[in-house]
Amino acid sequence: MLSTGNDIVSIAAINVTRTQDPVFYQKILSQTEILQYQQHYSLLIPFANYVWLLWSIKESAYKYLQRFDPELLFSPTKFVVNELVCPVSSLSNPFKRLIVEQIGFDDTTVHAARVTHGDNVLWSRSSFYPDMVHSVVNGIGNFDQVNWGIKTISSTDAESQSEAVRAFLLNKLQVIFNGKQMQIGKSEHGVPIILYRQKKIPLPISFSHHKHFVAYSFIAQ
Amino acid sequence: MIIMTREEILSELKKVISPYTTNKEMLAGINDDTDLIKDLKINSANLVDIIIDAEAKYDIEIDYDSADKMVNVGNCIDVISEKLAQK
Repeated sequence: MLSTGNDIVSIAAINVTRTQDPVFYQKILSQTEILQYQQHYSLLIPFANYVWLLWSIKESAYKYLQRFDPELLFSPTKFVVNELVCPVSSLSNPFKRLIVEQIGFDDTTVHAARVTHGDNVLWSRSSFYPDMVHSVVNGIGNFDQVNWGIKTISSTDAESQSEAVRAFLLNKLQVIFNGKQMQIGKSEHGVPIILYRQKKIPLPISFSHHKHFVAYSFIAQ
Repeated sequence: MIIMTREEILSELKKVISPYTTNKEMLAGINDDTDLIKDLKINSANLVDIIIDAEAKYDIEIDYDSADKMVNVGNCIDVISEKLAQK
């Protein structure tokens, strides 16, 4: 089953001072990742951004794997990001658009990486704006058929975020599936699933939200 | 060794969690089964904040394996209680 996991972090909402505290970042980054930053990325990415970039990749990978292993716990340091390739042209302006929806990624503007968890090997693409980072992970390394969307919303309470991201995805699915009215339910393990006429359809979806941002990802063949 | 009852830990834990949830009504009535993300709607990006604030509040160190278990209130109390007992 082709699947994805995605995560979004509002950079405007993070505490930069706390992020730079070793007590904090050592709970997110492995020693290998800290060393990689010092050796390869310190001139390319501010450290706080590196921490949250890797967080979003790891959280995406966790969401991907949890679909296959519902008992999996999120332990950030056990997800190891390596082979991080920074884009040739960074996204230098804040994400001001209301909605972005796309299939695949422009590899000249995204961070690409490989992420491992035990024997699992996954790949990621991350769009890093000055105010937000969004990552998508999959298990095949090819993102040509990955549908993803990011939307800015006005309310930041959990209920509004949840409603907004579901409506956002359903609108997209209606377009793809010729107006068919689909619904979003939850699996017995709490993973979001797509229902059509009360039956689950094999289209794994991933939701994320943080503050004013909501996002989805899925693979449509 | 520092002994705190589960009720005492819970009372302090509510103060640790409070800045990271807008669901104050749910927070007031939390119990062992309350899930930090699903029930209290805490964003996962704040889970590390909660662990670090708990370390500071109780003057304990929470290792990686223990932190992994802190998904619901009961697990949080178990971990804090265990670390306090080791002091």
